Amino acid sequence: MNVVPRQAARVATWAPKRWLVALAVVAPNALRPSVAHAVEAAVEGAVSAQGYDVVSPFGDVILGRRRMTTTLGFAAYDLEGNQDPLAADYSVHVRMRIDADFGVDDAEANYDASNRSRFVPGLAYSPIDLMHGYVEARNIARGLFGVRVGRQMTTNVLGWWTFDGGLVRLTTPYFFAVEAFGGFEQRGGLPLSTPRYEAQGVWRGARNGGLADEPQVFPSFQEASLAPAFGAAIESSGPNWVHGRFDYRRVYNSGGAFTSQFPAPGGGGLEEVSGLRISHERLGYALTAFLSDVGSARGGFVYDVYAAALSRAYGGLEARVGESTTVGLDGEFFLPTFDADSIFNWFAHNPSITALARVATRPTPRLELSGQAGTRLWLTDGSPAGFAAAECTAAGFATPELERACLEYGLEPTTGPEAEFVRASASRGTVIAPDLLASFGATHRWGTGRATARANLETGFGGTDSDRGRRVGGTLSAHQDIVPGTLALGGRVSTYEWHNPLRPDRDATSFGYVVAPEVAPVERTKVRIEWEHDMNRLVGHRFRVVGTLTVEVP
Amino acid sequence: MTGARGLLPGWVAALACALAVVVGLAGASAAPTAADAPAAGASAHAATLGPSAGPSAGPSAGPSAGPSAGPSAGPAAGQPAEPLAAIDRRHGLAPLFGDTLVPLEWMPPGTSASPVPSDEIFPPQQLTIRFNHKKHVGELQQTCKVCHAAAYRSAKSTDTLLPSPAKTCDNCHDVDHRNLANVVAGTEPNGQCGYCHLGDEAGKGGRVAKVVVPAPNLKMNHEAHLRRNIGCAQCHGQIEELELATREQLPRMAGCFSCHARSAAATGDAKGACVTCHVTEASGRLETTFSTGQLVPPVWLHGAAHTPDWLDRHKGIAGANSELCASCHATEFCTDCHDGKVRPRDVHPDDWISQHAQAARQDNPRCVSCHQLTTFCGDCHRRVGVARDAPSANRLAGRRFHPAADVWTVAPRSPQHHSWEAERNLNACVSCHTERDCATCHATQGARGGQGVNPHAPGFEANCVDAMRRNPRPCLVCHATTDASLGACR
Repeated sequence: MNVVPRQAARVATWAPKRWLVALAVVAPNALRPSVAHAVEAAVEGAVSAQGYDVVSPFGDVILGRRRMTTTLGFAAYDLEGNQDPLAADYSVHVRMRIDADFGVDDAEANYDASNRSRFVPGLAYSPIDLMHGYVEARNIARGLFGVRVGRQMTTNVLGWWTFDGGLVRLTTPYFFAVEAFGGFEQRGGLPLSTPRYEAQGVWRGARNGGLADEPQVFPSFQEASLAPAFGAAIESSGPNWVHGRFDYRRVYNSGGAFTSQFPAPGGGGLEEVSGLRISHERLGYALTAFLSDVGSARGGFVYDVYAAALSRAYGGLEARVGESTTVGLDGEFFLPTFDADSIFNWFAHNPSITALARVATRPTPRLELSGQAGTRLWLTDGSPAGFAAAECTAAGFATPELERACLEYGLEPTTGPEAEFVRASASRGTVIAPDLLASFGATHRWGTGRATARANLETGFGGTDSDRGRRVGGTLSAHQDIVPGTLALGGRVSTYEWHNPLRPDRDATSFGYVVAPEVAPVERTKVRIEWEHDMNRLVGHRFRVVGTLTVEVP
Repeated sequence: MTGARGLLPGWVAALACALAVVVGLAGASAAPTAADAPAAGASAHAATLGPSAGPSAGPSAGPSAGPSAGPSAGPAAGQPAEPLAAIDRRHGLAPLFGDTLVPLEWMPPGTSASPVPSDEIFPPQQLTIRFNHKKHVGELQQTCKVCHAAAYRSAKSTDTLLPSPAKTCDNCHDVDHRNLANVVAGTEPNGQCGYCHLGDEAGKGGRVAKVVVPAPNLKMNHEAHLRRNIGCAQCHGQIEELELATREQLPRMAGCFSCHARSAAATGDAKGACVTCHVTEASGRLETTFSTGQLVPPVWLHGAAHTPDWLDRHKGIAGANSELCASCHATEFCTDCHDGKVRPRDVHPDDWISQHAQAARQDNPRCVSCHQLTTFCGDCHRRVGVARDAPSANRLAGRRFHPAADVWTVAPRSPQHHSWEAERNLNACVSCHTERDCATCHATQGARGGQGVNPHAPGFEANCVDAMRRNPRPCLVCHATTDASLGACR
């Protein structure tokens, strides 16, 4: 800019036209590679190598897991050249992953009809997945519109979910926004995909290789097909003290799926259904609100339309007590629901209900403490304690001797008065088995380090009819910068004890420690080595080594 | 005896403590007086040497200290000691005299939620002057603009809004700040360095301690706010009631929310989005790492304080308002745990593989937050031979994961029968069993190959018509198409 007056002065006799001066000013700006200057790009990659052994609960099978997980991400922001976050903004985001396990042997991953004694359907040496890859436009038309196209993730009260498709968001000036999306759910077995985000309950993947020709082998393992999906959301926008969001999502299964699990008698094959059918359809609402001086409240629910069941409901109240202390109450109702292709929806009877009281405080700027205690209630239709005896009585084993025989030798549950007894609502009153839950957490920070403590207890009560076991223990960990920005050391010790009345031979007490140095040889590059040594009576000593290299290019 | 030798007797320690308290109290009350003499001396000394680095001076001048007081009139060495010492210089050292608590109604809006401003947004300051706003604004009827005129033109938070001493202080105080490398004190007490600048040696060697007010890590357009007729007090509180303005008079986020509540598409600038005020990275997410600490949500914001139990309870907030989380966190931050292939250590402690079965039994709702049961869990369970449909080479004859079949599988339903566990925690079943395992008994007899044990909950029929219409597949796993019992659901 300053060049112009001097130029003008030097050629004063030439008396340039005003438009030429303007052109001289504008041209360099117009011709410079503005995009190259304005676009912000970032590349990040991480390689994590792990080596450890997994021992079967029976002690005989030992998996040597030799894993190498590599992620590579790329993002480019401000494609429009404007770095105002409130203005229209265009960006690209891609992240890929290879999750290789060199411990998987050939017989496990590749189907061989002549020897399938080790084959695990769906297992792969090194699955590659596109975690996300999308183009996004935000704040278009003064903040009215946003668009996202590609593989993307949504997070809302319905849970984590990814799909390939498009999402449009309309933000109104009237304190609410509307979203609509459509595409295909990410499904394991399809290219560049992982099953992580599918609805639960269906064992699904690529029935490739020889498996495609042998439907009677692993009939529960379904061939993955495209899963069309769409949904919508309405969300509050603007006020910070309250936020509500309603979500709806419907996903379809397509392609074929075996129905019968056993070949038809007389050498018949397996039956199959095909075509579009519901995979899952859910709607939910979540609300959070706060009064900054008082506290906050939150609540929400998820309703599974296919299962016609409330899948999840939760609520919480938090109150401020003094400057840096909060107390709260949280409750959650959880009933597992599944993909509509799965039979498990029809086995889900009762929710688990969790209620917790909590307190969190920060007695000093460097020390934070929190604690929770409460219960989780497990519900059954009928009383496990006396059901068997009543069942025998209903079946006609009326005398003590007959009842003893019934309990010892069993009975036929599908016909007769015992079957009626099992189905009768009078026999199926709700019975609760409570677990006690408690946890404690503390974090202490100092200039170049921090220490944290976490401890938790989950324990049941009563006899075998209600006691669901116990898990109790805690972890102390610390992280200290030795040469800030260059060298750090982390460490952790932990001990846990667990007990399961159904499997008392698997009770154990474990002690473990971890030493983890971190080195940053150059800026934005970090190498972390983690040595873990665990010991318990079941597996003796077990070791895990994890090395992680993280690189970022801003 | 040996142990006691190294310690003071209790009564000596108690006496020492009591004396220390008395001395401390006396010292505190005497401090301003004690400070006067060296300060006065320093100002005399400064006058002699010429203060060279006096960045500002807070005028606490009395009515006599008018603009006419000649700033160039340098005092003779030691001359003004007595008048300066006579002035009560305890004022202007704290928001209220004696550092008493400022009433909440005089504090910036939102102070009740955040008693002190965030260190990350407003880095600590070093205020080395005393200044009495109450006197200047109240008694002397000076408006905010007299000293902070720059705020009325300021569009950026990095602008300096403190007054220029030469243009403001010197109008009344007997001092010349025009050349900050050579500030010349006048003869009147209010023109001495020590009158406003703190420190026993204020002005000594021509130097005063520097006032440091770092720019906030925030976007702030004072001019735009003032143009909307938003007065100073609306964000800073009742400064005119206070003496020294400190960090405590800086705005609180809860106060900002009283106006910043509009959607991104609404007209006007008072948007509720975080990026309206917070400094952002190129990605559009908030800058969270500052030399003064890590920016985290305040304790009152949607219950999202990142307390030590945050891991346990973040689900309720993230599920309800993922945009709030996305203000600071990229998707990768979440997927590293929720879709991670490397075990998050804070969630799964050491020796997790050994204890995970019991954890899944008692804490199962949390497993499905991250894990697909039939693949993530099932693959490994098949490989180690736990799952019922594990490949034959991995299944070990005579080994059972569950209790013996006579109590686990066979009717009547004993306390250890699998049905109770399935009713309580079906997800745990699904982590090992495919539907073929269940169909073995629960499918109907005949074509479906089962034994006809009905697993349906009471009242199931009410929903089965709609369910079967929308997806008949699960029905047909256990029921043949010709099954009469399907008739009720067609």
